[in-house]
Amino acid sequence: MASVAYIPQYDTRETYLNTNYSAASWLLTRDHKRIAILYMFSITLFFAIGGSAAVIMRLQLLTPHSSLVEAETYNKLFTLHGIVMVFFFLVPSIPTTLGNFLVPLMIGARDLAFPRINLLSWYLFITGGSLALVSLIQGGVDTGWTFYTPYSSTFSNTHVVLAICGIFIAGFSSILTGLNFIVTIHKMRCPGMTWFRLPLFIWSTYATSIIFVLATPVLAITLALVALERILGVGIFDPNLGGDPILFQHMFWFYSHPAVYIMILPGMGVVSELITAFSRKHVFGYEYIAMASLSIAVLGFLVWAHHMFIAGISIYGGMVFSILSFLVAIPSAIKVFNWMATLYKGSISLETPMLYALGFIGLFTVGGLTGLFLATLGIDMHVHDTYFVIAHFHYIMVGGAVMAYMGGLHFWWPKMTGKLYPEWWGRISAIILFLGFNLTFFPQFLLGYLGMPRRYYAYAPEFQVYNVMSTAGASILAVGYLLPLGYLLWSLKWGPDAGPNPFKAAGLEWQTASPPPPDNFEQTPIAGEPYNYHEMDFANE
Amino acid sequence: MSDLVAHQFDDLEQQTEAGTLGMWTFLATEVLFFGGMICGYTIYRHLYFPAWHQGSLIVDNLRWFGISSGAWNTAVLLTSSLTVALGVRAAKLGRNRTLLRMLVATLLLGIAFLGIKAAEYTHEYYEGVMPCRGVFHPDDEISSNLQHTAGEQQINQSFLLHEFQLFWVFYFFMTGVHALHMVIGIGLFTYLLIEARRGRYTPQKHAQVEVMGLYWHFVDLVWIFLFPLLYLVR
Amino acid sequence: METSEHKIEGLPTYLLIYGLLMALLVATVVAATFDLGQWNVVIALTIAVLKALLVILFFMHVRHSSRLTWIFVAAAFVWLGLLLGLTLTDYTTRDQPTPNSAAQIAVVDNGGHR
Repeated sequence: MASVAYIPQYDTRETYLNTNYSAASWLLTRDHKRIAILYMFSITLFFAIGGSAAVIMRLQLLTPHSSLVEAETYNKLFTLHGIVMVFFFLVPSIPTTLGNFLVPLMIGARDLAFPRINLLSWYLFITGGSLALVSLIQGGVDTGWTFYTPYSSTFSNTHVVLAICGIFIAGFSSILTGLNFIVTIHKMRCPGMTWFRLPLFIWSTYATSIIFVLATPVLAITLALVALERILGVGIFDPNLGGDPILFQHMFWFYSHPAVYIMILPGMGVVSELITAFSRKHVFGYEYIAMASLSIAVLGFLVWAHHMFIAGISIYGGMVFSILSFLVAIPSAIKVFNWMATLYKGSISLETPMLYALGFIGLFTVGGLTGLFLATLGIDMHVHDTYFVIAHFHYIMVGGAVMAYMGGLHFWWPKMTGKLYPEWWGRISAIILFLGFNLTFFPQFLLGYLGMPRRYYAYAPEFQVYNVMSTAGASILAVGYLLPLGYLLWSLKWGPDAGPNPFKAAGLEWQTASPPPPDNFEQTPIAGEPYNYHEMDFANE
Repeated sequence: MSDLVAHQFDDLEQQTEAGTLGMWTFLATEVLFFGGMICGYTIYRHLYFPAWHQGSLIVDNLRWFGISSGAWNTAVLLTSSLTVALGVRAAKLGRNRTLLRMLVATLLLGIAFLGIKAAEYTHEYYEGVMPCRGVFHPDDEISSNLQHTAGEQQINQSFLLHEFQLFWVFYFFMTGVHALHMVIGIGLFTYLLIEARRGRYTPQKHAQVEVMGLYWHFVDLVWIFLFPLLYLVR
Repeated sequence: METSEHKIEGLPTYLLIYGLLMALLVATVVAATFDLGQWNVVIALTIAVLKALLVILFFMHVRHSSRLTWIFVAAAFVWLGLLLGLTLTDYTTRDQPTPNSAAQIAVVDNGGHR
């Protein structure tokens, strides 16, 4: 099929995009590809909202005692930024957009196992997101995205319950998505697609889905208990009424630590795909990367109290969680080494997706290593609740996860839309993002180490230089995000037609047309070995 | 054939396996959902045992023929699991009349469970132990028991009262969420009953009955643990 | 792939399991009438686990289900164990319980120190 000459102007075939143009056909769709597009619009909107909050925060922090916003408003801003970015952007991003679109394609299936539940997931997501936005419009929440008690359960006068309802409902969206992926990957692989022939993106998605399914319910209950406490006036987590605030933290972080692996694992899956495609080489240590994904998912459940080292847990508990936190770094490191080994002696080309993938590897490594700093009890005592922590997780979440998302978005854009994005604009944006990112967040490591606390609307004057650098970097970062928004939308109308496989990549998704027909494949494919670049390139010589 | 197998599946067997695996995955999430509540319960029981003990005695004190309402409810649910299992078996064997009888029996038992729960909640309301702001006023007998316990165990009385109230928060939350799942189960089985009366289930096509049966058994499983945890703290 | 549909349990088996479940219920209730100190909870939960196993294996047909189903069932309970177990590593190893437990308040009220 892929060797047939492709002549765009004679292309009148049915694709998932042109099969029906009505609003109902989109809002009541069961097609996983359309649902992926619906999600893409939604999370882009949430990214813009969360990003706007960050812009205002960074402007506030340009000077030590700025009066751009009041202290209470600043609290609401960082809470908004956290809630929106974590629950409504990072957690869904890659799984619901790239995952929804690609999982059936990559395994040779016609759709996910439960298409209607997939649509329900999207509706739950936007319902939850709308409730969160309503709480914002009503005046916001000021507890931080971590909702620590007893402030959130007793003292805060903001719209906590409304925000919690939004997150609770969005949680069920995640659970159903994870459930759908697990069943699909187990039961709907095409002939020949054994477990160890699956693309690594599928392995990562599977590992992420395990976390979705097992961690999210505990968050739901924890937040429900906070809401109950506010509504009933009881003391579940209020020490004055017999409650234990640390219990809240245990239960909260039981979800929220694995949640950060929800946010990074899909990105790692994307990077595995990009690295092999743009080195034109079979990935080094395929089984190790696959097993590392599962290990990260499992080990990620065992480390949550490293967020609580100075909260009042026992020192022995602290030691246990510190050791476990060191362990979870190992599979991540294995992945990085394997990616490097894949690059070695590969036929590397630096297209936009590859730039993002390489950026990911560097920035994720910095973020991951600083995680080890934080897992060390003695260091954590010094840098907990400072900008060091903020820099650490932004290196992973923005330098890692968001870059991976951008890389994946560009790589599969031709597949999803049938259009090519403008390559030079892509490369320039990637470089701008990389530079802007580092200027924004590297100074924050220094700020944290020097003692600047997080979640403060003002700071000591000696910290100003680094804050100014950080804000300057943020402005460059903003440009780096706006450019792709612009040229990707531009490409929908004026981009050249892509053809089935513009990057000559391996993978079943590239064996069908761009955009794919509604049922994905003309006939059910038969899977062979993954990443068979050697064969492909040898055959084409 | 096309209405039997959804378009994303290759054949009926794949569809059935996917449906069953999907339900098991969902039940795994439910284990963690109830598990979150059980975690909170466990930590507080560890910290506040006297209050938990007192609360449990009161939960267990509504009796009919000498047997506590909780024990009756456990018997009701275990019996309903039997009727569900027999119903699924009837569906597999194509015995529609038996299936219908078992579905009706299950529904009746489910409604009986909720009835007993309602009686318990009413009783507890009148004892003054519903843990809401302004409504929580344990009656005289309970208050004097608490005072007695506080004296005996050398515990600050007002804190014992707070911990006692916390027990009731967990009791109503856990049994309330369980009862909600029960209501959903009754809804699902009503749907099964309607479809079974239309003759929809055959030995080839009974997966729906089996999958919803799994859900019902799970709700029973949760109760099997809630009963000793809430009623039998000694 | 082996599915649970292919093996149908007999009626006598279901009735036997039901009988066992009811017997275990009686045992739970009876055991609670005795004061056995900390063993009460162990016995109550052990019986609950036995009942649960009977329901899972026989009524939910896990006995005849694929290994995949077994893994999913086991994983759910293992994860619950992780939540409870690891949280308890904190609470059971503190030198000094948080001073909000009633017992501690009493000691502090009495002027004792811990």
